[in-house]
Amino acid sequence: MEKPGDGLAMVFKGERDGRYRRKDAFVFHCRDHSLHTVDSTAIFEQLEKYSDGMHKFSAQSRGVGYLDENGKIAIAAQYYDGSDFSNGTAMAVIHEGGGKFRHPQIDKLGREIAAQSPLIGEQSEQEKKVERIKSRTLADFRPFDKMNSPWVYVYKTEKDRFIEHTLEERKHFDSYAWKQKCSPDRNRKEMFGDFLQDYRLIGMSRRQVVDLLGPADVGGYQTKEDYLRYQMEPIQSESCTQQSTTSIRIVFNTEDRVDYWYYTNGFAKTPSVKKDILLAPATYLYPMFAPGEISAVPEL
Amino acid sequence: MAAESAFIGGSIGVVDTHRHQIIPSKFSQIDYLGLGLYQTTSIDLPDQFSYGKIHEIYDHDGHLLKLKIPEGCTFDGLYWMGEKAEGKRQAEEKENSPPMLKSSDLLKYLPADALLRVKRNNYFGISDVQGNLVLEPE
Repeated sequence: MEKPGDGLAMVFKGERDGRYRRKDAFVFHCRDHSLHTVDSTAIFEQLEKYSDGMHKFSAQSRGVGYLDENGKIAIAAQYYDGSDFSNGTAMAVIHEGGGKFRHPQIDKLGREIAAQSPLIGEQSEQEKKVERIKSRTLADFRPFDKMNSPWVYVYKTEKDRFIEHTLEERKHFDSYAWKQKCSPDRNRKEMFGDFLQDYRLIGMSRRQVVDLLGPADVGGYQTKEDYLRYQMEPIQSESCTQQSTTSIRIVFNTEDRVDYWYYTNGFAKTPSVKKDILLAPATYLYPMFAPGEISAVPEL
Repeated sequence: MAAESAFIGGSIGVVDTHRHQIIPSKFSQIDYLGLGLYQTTSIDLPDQFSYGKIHEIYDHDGHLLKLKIPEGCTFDGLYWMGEKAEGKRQAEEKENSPPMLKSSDLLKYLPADALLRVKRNNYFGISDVQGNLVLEPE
């Protein structure tokens, strides 16, 4: 059973049907203890939470839609992805083909309220800054000081794709919010950035990782890797022709301590990060750092 | 008064900012529920992560809350804090990290409309704080 959001929660009778998909789903109202049958065409591939009286669901091959508090489909499954509802609106993600995405704001009837932000394919100021160091090799940075200056983690793959961590405002890692997969103002990527700033991940015991990040979404032993995997949101990447749900994979050594970590989306993975974040003043990031200079950066 | 769970000798307890013990260090996991309540998980060494099956709730002074659980069921966790307390908990979650509450906000017992997650034969159900099942474990 899910944790309640706004006093509403999805509960499931009987055995699990597959990995995430379940049958005999009901909406439980905590206030009056009533139970409402969920529309049988709604399939849940991942447990979410009620937010603002609406529940995100995904129907295989049709995309993401929303259920109302009585378990009826309020907005049919049609989106590539969508945010939780808040104050009567949510942000939908519509795949327009060719690597282009649109992010309209929708109301509880699925009507678009206003066009949102430029297409992901267009370069933002931050992306332009990243562009300046695109010829560099793997590096991860963060500011020397404890001020609120932004820090960036950048990597370059063989195909010139990048992921960046940019935190405009430094915040402490909120373990509870991470475990709940729910933070009012922080997405998973940002929360993981907070985590990296507050803790030394490399060398951390499995137990400490689980204590801070909670049980993994997926864990296992695969391709000689003993790992824990945590789901992230889709991450924007430059000149990326597809988007998919990214996860972070934390790999343990034979002593059950973190050996390295990397991002993966099932199709590709980033280079492994084998040591704790290096320190660098934000001003150092642009436009310097030729390959080789990274070793001059003092270690944490 | 702020408090945080901490590793002490491989088990977890809670100390306040003056290092006074609130909850003894004998648990595999402690989750802060909000409004001064902590949920503990016992230690089970054979388990991969040492997580045991016994869950309890402590208040901010380290007192164990007595919970009424339906017969044949075991307590698995706090499910819902109740209408009023849930609103306060969410406000606390948004505004404070670590939580700094007024003493009047700290709960000494679960509100009457709170709900508990209970377990029976590996199925989950929901009970109220009076020990009545409101959702059968099935």
